[in-house]
Amino acid sequence: MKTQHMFASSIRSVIILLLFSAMAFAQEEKKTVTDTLVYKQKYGLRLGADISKLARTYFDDDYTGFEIMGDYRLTKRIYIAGEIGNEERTLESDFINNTTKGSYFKAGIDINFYKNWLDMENMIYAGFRVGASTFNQTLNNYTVYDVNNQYWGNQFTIEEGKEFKGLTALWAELQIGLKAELFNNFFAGVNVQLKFLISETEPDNYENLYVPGYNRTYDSSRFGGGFGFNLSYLVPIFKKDKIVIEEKEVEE
Amino acid sequence: MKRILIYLSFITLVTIITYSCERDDICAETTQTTPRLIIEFYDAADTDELKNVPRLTVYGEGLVTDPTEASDTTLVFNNNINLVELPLRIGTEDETITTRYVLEKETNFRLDTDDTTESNIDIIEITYSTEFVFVSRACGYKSIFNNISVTRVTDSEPWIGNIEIETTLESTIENENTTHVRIFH
Repeated sequence: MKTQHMFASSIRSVIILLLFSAMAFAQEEKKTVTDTLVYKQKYGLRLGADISKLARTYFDDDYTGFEIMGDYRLTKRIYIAGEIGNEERTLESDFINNTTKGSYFKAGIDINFYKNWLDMENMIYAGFRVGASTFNQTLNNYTVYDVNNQYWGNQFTIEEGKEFKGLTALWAELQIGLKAELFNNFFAGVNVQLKFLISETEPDNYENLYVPGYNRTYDSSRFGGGFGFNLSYLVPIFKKDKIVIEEKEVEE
Repeated sequence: MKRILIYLSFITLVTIITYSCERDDICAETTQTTPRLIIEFYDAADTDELKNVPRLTVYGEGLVTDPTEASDTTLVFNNNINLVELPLRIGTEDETITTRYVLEKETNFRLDTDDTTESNIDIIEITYSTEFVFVSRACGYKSIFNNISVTRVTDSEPWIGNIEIETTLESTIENENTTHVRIFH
């Protein structure tokens, strides 16, 4: 009787052990499921101004200018973008004092390469623009370059200004920059610009030393450069869902 | 990967911009700017032959009189030479300007203590008008000279015979690549 009882109890303990181990095994078994998250993405018109140009207007006596920029989000990654501005710049060297004054606009697209996390809408982008400018140049005064003029001691300076009107220029531009949402709908951005001058109207017996929007020209090449620092505000027009599919492991 | 690409393009862009910002606002010495008047002296007897002017001194009229030593005001001093380069005065565009140079031959006869020998001074008068031509942003404008004419101021004892301006120049001096004026003596 006693041995039978012992046998039964040992059987029970084995069964319990097995049961527990089975339970423990069941706890290990998980399943991957896809979880669909939906974030609202704001689409709309972002409008802003170039702060660096405003700051330069304030600090630099030889410069006055402003630039308004805007972009419109077409798809998840592509934006139509453009800038419009006005600049007046005086360049002075030992022999030439020149003032360029005019307006420009640039139009193109921005492509966002940044994969945003959750509902964020920041940009690291590459942009392409075509820029055009109309401007006037005034040659305020100039000194005739003559290495031998010290012989007669007459450095000859022409003080009366000459104005070259109705000048135009066309260029292509590559931009790389970023835009970050500082707080709700309010963005700050920086970019660098590489410009390639396609065509320009050359003034008679002179050259374009500065082109609004393109910045200063170079004798040695048709490339130019620039940068921008802007603050902008997004006017949301509509919202689109951004669907994020996440894979999660869940218990059965 | 994408991030690396973005970084790379950023660096490339900055490099290109820096590279394109190379200094082109210093006027290189090799650039042809305002030319001087280049005069060569030829033999009056054999007009194809260059002939040195013995002990020539050249200076702008009014800058110095009877110089006794070489200085900044003498372009040539007491030298046997067959070529001189004369800077021309620059004035308002399209106005007729006159520059006069003193060409003193045998300067050593004035400098020495022998009173029986003397140097021979001839004065040439160069008239022209200036035209300012744009060169580059660094050099600005240069002047070229139009309607140039060179004459010898009348003198009782001239050593300069004939003065000829190169006909190919059409009275315009644009650069220093060629001789502009031949003086026969």
